[in-house]
Amino acid sequence: MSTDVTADNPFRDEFLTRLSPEPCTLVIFGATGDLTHKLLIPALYNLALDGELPPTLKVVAFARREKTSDEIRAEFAGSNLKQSRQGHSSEFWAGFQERIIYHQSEFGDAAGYASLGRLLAELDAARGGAGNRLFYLASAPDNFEEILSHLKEAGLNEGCHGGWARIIVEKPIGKDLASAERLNNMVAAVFAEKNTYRIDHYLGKETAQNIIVTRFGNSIFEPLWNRNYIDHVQITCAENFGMTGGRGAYYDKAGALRDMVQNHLLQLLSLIAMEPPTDLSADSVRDEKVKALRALRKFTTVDEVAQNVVRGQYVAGSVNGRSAVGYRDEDRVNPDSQTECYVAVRAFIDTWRWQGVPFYIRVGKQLPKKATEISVHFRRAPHVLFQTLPARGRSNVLVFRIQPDEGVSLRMLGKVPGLAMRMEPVKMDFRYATSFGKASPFAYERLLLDAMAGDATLFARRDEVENAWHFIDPIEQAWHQAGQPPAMTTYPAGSWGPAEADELMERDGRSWRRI
Amino acid sequence: MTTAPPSSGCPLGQETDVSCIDSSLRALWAGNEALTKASLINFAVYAESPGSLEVNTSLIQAVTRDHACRAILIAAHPSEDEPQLKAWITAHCQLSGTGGKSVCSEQIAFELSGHLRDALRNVVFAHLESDLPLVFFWQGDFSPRWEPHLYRRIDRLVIDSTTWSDPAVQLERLRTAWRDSGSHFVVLDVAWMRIFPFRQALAGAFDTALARTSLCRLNALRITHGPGHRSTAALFASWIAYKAGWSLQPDERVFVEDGTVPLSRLEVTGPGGCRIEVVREEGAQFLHVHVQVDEEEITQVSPLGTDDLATLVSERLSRGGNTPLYFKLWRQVTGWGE
Repeated sequence: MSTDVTADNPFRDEFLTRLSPEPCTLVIFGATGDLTHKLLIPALYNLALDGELPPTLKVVAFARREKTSDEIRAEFAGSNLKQSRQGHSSEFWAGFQERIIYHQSEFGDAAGYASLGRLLAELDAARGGAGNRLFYLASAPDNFEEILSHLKEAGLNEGCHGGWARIIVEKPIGKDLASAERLNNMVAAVFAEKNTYRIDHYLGKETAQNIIVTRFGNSIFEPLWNRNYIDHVQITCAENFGMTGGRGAYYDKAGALRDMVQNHLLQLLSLIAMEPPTDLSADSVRDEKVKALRALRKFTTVDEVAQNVVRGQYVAGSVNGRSAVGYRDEDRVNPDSQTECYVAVRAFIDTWRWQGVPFYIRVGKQLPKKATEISVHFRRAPHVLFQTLPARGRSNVLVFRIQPDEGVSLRMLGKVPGLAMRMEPVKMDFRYATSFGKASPFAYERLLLDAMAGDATLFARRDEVENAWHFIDPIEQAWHQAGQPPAMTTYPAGSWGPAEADELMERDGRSWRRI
Repeated sequence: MTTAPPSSGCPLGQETDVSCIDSSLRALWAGNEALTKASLINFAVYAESPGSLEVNTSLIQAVTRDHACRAILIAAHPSEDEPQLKAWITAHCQLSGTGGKSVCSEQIAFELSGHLRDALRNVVFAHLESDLPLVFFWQGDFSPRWEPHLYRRIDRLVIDSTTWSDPAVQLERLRTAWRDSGSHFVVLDVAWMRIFPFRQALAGAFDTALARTSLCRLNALRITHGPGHRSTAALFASWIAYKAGWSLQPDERVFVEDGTVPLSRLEVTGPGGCRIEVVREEGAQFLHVHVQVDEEEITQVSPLGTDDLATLVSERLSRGGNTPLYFKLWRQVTGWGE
């Protein structure tokens, strides 16, 4: 029997500029949750609208609540109307929604998986091809274990008729190294690593992918990309909101270090710090990222943590003209919480390339702006000619803006017109919005397509995740298990974070980049 | 969102002396900090038809939503006796998504009359933004102004083959120029973009096993096209035949002129009730695809695209081109002797 694969479609080849997604059935666990409504369904809809989705792809929405397929389709239509990047067409939706089937079951009910197996077999038969299955764990992490064990028990962890079975795992991957290893072992017992896709949506963003292109597609940067020319690197993720939408309950258990640094920001760091891969295959790229993460210098004592890491909580203040309560007064947050919603880290990567170059990472809630960026600060020129001029802004800075206003800028010095020899920093700016016009696909669109195509380049491999935890764990232990933990600092909502974070930079004769 | 350009009045903008274009452009931006000038390509548009400057100004206004550029519009009137060269400058501004700034593309429009028509290449070359590629939209038939000094400097050539009076003659001129340039420029035919949604829909149909099992049985195609789009339909048929490895005989390809849209229906058929149809229903927002093989049937919907020239040009600029394949497809069409 021939199969639904696009690779041997003679009319398809010229549309393909990457691996093509293979026809499959996507099973979403936790289909009634926010992630599915706000991100996954709109992503699938937009892919279909662009003609990118395999025409025979089916979506099985697996959840606990009693519901019919028509009911979930109507609910998804409502959320797609609000979230879709390209708007919502009732005509197109009418065809698209036929792909969606609701499957009601408790996550721990073996019978539900047996009936899921029968449904998948029917869909495979109707498609007339290999039984390719893509499972998406969009439920709360507490449910992962029973979902995985039941998938294995029902024999759904393998494809049928020569097909494949893959699983996408949402963050958080553990809350420390031990729990991450436990979860990874659990997944590994059911799915091979090559079939496991740990999603980190930051890697699906255009600007994150552009880091590799900028570094290795241009000849002018890589010769300078080392300790001889780079003074330091700053990675900032600022958010101008607090615990909106009941987020406090989750956040108060996680904190900024686990929620953002362990995954998103260390992923960005590894893209900046990695050595050139031998090719662009998933494992070549990830091998190099892992080496960078493995070389992160671990903090071995509480003192080292205190010297290099600042944690903080916001107190009442004002953000964008509205008054904001303090973190401990937020909805669903413990009034005695010791969870950080701001963290600044000074990290070092012990490699030949990066010896002595600090990587400053900061992330925080209720800061003045929403912005994520990486700035690479080059060493100053020798100043033989200009040594009497003011120092402010004298070094070159290359900035990757991850969001919003995605782009790259380079700060350099220029002479101010006039008779005097006066210099000012000027900025060369590349913006995705004005250079390429078209809106980029959302990160989830790209990542879902990659998982269907079997391209894991933009997904985190097990050793990446665990090496990141190796770095994070000593900090968490110093904060929560030491007899005399480093102090929790505070900052007013709407400011740029605690004074101690500024001091962390000032001790090194540096300052945070003004964003 | 489109915002008002910094100059107003005449749709072509502010008339200026040709020798003062640079200073006039600088003055356009002076003191207006809410505007950001952007440019990724030099986009020259050449036409010899009356009223083309106004029409192409609207085209540039739309194209710059996706492609910030230095636009150079040239209207030539070779039949007029009195030599004259007039120029206008303006800018097309779009409100950017963030920051409330307007991102603007400059436009310089020229009207060349009489013997000055030979000044075309100089007018273009003198006003290019340095280091940026030259995209040249040549509208209509190639005239004597299409000459080596010009086309050897072009990086991407946009044409619309549906406007050619004699496709075989024009194609030969184009192919000769392409070879003479050392295959330097990439040919981007807007007609190719018009059939893109149909090509995409057909590819989607053949993603299904049902359609692919029928591929070896399919042996005839029928394309319904609008007036003036016979060559587009032929190009599409040529592409299908090339991709499927068919050698279509005259009775195996039928072109029917009907309706007003460029393409409204594709039927690929074979013996035994084997049929694949891509249909553009009147007023529909999507293409409808029907695959019928023996007793089995599948229906799909696929993006429809647009007939608007500016959008087609904009889309064409966003995609690469395969010029050798393009000529190969045309060779097959001209070989059909129709």
